[in-house]
Amino acid sequence: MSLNVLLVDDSSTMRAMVARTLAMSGLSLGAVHQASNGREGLDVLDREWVDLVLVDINMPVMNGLEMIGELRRKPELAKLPVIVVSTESSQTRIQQVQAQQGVCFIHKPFTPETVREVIEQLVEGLEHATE
Amino acid sequence: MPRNEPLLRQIAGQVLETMAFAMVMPRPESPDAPVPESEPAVCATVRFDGAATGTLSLTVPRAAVNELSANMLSQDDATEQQRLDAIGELANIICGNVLPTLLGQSAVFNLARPQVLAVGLDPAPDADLATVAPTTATRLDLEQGWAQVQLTLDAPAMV
Repeated sequence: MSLNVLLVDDSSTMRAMVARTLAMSGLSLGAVHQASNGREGLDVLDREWVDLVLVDINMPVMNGLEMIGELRRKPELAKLPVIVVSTESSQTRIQQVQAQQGVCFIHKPFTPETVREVIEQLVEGLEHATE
Repeated sequence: MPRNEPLLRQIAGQVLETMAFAMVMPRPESPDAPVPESEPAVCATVRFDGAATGTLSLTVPRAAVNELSANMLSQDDATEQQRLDAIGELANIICGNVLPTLLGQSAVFNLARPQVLAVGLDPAPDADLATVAPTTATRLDLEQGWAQVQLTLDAPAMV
């Protein structure tokens, strides 16, 4: 099954890098959508079918944690898998991220292998939860 | 040589290898050598505050920018802005990894957006960076050229 992915980062360069890494990971990808902040990301989710969101934390307009909070309030998106991709190294902040349901964390720098492993674990975990 | 130079070098090398597929060469004989004034280069700086305040800078020769950014973006037709942004992202990632390693995993830092500028052809446009001695610095030889990383803390810290 191909994954439709949404990349949310205020840096177009970082979105391109994440897209490149996803392409190198060997995962079966469908559509790859992009947004430059959490508000735009939510707009994409309102009109597109997305299986996975990769989001940065620090963004203008609406940051990553705010976006996750918003989409978790929508019944149709409450279980959407989210991966936070960030340079954040504060254990306090990382734990805040990982305390969110259905959210994993990938620390920069990242390899295609790491991205694939995290995505597979996240998707597999959700499949088991719905069985 | 500042005692944390090896850590700075290790982290910078890992980021350059992982994100830009750079080939880091063995340690050069003069890791603290200054940037040759005649070689045009690009310098990305990241300001940070929180548990400590300061600046991390990453300088690479202009000739290496195209290749490093092409590796990062998987495209040869990137715009100049995209190339510079890519170097800025490298600086951002290095900074995000260096700070907790050198100053504590529980510390919280806020990183500003990278600022990228050209150096080497003109006198250093940022006079503050030019006159303040870095707290820790390292220089890596790359297959694509070289990279110089400097960490400057605004206040003395046990680094």
